Amino acid sequence: MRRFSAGWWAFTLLRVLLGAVFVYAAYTKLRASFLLFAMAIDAYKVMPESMAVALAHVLPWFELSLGLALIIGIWQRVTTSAATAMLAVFFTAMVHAYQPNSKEGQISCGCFGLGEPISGRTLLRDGALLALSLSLAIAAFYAARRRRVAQLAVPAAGALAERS
Amino acid sequence: MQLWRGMLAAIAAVAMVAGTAGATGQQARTRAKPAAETEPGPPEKTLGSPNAPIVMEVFSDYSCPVCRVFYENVVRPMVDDYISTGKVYLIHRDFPLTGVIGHEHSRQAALYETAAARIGRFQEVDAALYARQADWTRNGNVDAVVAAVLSPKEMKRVRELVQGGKVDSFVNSDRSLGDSKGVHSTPTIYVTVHGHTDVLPGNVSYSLLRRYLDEQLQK
Repeated sequence: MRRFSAGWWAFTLLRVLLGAVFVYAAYTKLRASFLLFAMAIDAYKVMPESMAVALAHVLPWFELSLGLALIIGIWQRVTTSAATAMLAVFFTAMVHAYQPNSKEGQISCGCFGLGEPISGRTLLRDGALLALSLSLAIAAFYAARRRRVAQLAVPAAGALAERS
Repeated sequence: MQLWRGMLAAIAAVAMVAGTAGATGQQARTRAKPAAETEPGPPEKTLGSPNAPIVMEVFSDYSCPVCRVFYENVVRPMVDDYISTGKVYLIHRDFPLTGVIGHEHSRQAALYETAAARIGRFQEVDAALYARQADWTRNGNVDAVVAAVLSPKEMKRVRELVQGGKVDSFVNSDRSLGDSKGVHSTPTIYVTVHGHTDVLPGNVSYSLLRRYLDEQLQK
């Protein structure tokens, strides 16, 4: 019976938790009118309104698919990289829009539905999720590399054994 | 290599704990705030029919430029399209920001507007305060801006109400209501339809708001 290391268990647990965060984020958007999410995206004023509306249609479903893929554990290098890229874009947009001392026109983060303004707390949370996702992506690539080296090493060891 | 993996796992674990704690804590707070009931507004500071299917409650500060843009680009067209047609009931709430540079006269403006509302001239003073925001926020002469749109008799009554401290409690009440709902910036917009409340971003565009209101009306 195959035995799994503590590292494997930690990676799996954290990957599933990250996936759950994405699924929850998608759920909060899909249960409400997509126009609320479109307003949240449009509030950042980084793209035309029509694009914000289109993104509001697509993004929650993408988050849901990505979250489920992370939970199931398929295409780990792709899913962890996609999650990292997505969180990096969100984090950059939030930092750009953050107004630490302003009490006028604070915009909603839009991370888990509306009504949550960008604050030090939301930045910390998204920064932490970005760090987590990046760690998982590095670990996924590292594990794949180790597997490849191991696959190459087995025939080589066999060939050496035959020669001797 | 084991050490490297262990370190990655530790970083990820700390990040996950911080992330999920932040997410759940914030969500719990956010859920609790908009769920607060929409109290009926004082009739003098409302627009439209109280029986309208959509209730929009706006917490604003007269010194706030985003509030002015919201008033000019959203409230004005909404009056014709949704308020006068009985689809939206708009409740104005004063939320004068304190301790913020550029908002030194916000409370005074709210007091004058509330006094004007008491004598039935809310809309005129509301419009004037936003239209001449750049003037009175700089020189503090709210009185002159209000006097320009009221008759001398009306202005005398407004001054009596403001100077006699007869409208302070109304402004304080709005402010307290905002605090209890978790308002922390202006404008904060609550839209209630069939008992369900959504919080909209303060810099919402009218075209998106229209689509949203039309969608809500079809429910």
